Amino acid sequence: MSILSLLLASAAFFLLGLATEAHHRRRFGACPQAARCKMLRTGGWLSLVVSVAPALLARGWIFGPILWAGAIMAGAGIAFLALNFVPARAMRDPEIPSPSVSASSRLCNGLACRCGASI
Amino acid sequence: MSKGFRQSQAFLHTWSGLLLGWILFLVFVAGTIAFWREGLNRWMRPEIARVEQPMRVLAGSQAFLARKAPDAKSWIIPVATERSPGAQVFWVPQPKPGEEHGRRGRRGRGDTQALIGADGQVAQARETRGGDFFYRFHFDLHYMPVIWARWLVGFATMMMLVAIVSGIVTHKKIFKDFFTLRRAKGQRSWLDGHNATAVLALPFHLMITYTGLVTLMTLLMPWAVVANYNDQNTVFATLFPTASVVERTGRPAPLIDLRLIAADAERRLAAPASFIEVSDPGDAAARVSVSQSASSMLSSRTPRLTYDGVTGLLVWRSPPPGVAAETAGAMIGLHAGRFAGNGGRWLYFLCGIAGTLMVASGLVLWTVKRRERLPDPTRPHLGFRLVERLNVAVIGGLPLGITCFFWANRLLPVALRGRADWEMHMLFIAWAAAALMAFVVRPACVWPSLFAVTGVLLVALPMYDVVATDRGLFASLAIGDLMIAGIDAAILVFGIAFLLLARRVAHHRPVAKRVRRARTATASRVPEAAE
Amino acid sequence: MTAGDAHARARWARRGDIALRVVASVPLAYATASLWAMALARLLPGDRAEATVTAALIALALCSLAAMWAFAARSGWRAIWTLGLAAAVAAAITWISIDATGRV
Repeated sequence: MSILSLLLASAAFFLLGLATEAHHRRRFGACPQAARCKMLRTGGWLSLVVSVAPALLARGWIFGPILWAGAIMAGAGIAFLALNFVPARAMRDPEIPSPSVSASSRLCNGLACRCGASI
Repeated sequence: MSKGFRQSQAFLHTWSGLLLGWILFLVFVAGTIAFWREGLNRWMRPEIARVEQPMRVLAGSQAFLARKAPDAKSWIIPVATERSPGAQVFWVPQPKPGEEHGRRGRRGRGDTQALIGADGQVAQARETRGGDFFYRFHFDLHYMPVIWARWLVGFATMMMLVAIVSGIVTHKKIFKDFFTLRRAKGQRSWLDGHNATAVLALPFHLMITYTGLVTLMTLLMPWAVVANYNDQNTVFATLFPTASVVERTGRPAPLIDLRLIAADAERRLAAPASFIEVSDPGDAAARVSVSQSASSMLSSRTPRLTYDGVTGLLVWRSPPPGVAAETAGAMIGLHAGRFAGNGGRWLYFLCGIAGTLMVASGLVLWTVKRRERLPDPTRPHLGFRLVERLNVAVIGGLPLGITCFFWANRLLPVALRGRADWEMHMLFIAWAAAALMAFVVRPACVWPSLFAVTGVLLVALPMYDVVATDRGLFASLAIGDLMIAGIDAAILVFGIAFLLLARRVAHHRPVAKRVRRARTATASRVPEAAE
Repeated sequence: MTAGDAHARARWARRGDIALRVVASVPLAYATASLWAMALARLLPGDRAEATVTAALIALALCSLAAMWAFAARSGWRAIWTLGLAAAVAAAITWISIDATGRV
């Protein structure tokens, strides 16, 4: 149950991170379309909310929220490391060269891809 | 939010973080290490065996105290667990005629305390403060009266809270930026690192800072008490109730076997016991109070049971606390993290490290950012030089000091008088030497040197343990003592990390500034908001 | 007045403004929070010990908010008089309450 909470939280932050222009471009080689962006963000937030339940089930009403806070911090860390340090080649078309994160954001801004101003 | 508001909070964030940032770094380092205080209590006494039978330690403690301090005013006996080195018992002698309270002696004075080991005898261990030093250090500091230290730490904590909240408010795209990590980009990279460590463990940082204030609440915010009460005693009696005090009769009566009381208490509480306090032992009016262990619940204010010391009958049970008192207790419990099992402890530890890195990266970011704006980089103004040198002295020097503290624990002769104090002196001597170097030699030289020396000494420490103690890494793993093995392993990992850091810093070349148009000297620029 | 003088005056004005905000954010914020701790301890219903603890917990948070306000306010003087007013209100409430029902 606690592990489930952690997995959901990691997935949540991974999706939210993918929704940012820089990481999306890096992994998929293209700017995120508005619809895709929305889908990723909704999925991310949904996953985050759902991750509360296994934590409460595992530890009750007092220690459950504490466990959840731990899960979201750990999940955010895992997602951060995965997004920034796992080679991008794993996820997308190997033909398109993988730009660096900062290059991605410059390109994305230049091509006017919009993903909303904030998460 | 308007640009002006965000800018004002950015300014506040920078200064509230910077001015006492070095104190905060110290608090974070010591506090993070203190999460493993019990383990360190054992690790720093490699001679003693693991506790297998807590009741044996309790029986031994009672026997020892009955021999050593039969007429004491009170005995305090912690119940040993397999995590603790034993029971660090202490006693309060009877007050001399004319004195109101017994002379408790300076904290740390050996003459009214002793460590009872796993076999129930006084442990033959080197004199050391162990992990408890880090716990105390992070709010009592050292070499100063504790009240001053707590005011200073309390003030710094309030500034930290302001820094955190203003940091959140000022950061426009806080969650989006969280995932960004731009490498090798000078100031931007430092900012990203600072943001990442701050936002990643943001729930922890907010919690630990605010609850830290709550632990010092009686000192920092006593005014609520003043408004409602003429004196403190009434409210403290309500919030921290104890059984009524009975007068010493002067008639001797044998004290009941404390193991019976401990067993009964644990049965009634349905939880382990942590502290046993015996008042007037050996007297007919003896009382035994047992507190529930803080590891079994969230609140630090645990239930207490009081027994008659001669008959063993329960005479008093602490009333359930009110909501506010319980909330405050829960907050203190959250701060101390005693409720956490091993997994939780690791999470606290990793978050503490994130917090330490957040403070350190913030301090360095200040210099990196301003270095790019210096009109003459070879002659920086006094403020810049001071901050830069303090950064080296504290961020580079404190880890070295702590490493020397551990080495002093290993190397100082066992028979040395005041050995425990000398271990601590070694920490500060090493730190002072590093600080001196930081102020005299160029930072570019001192950073890698300090990190390298720290790294080498840390890596050597578990090696020393293997060779010179019988609690080395392999020996501990062989007997399944994961705590000691874990500490040795963690020290090794940190040592390697410091060596890698030293190498990275030694090869660091300042990132080439992007070519900018010559800035006109505008005297009073509005401070730029942090991006 | 030359441009140099104008610059110097602007710079000192800014330093003065910051100095006022520092006064507002440190001693004044603490004083305001403490006085509100007292007022809340008097005003909150229920058991006195409970109200005391609640008031202290709230006051710790108020202190940091007051410090933030000290820098968010439009000017240093505004920060000072607004916080001062808040402090005075709390002091009045406390005084009246203690005068009326006394302390335990």
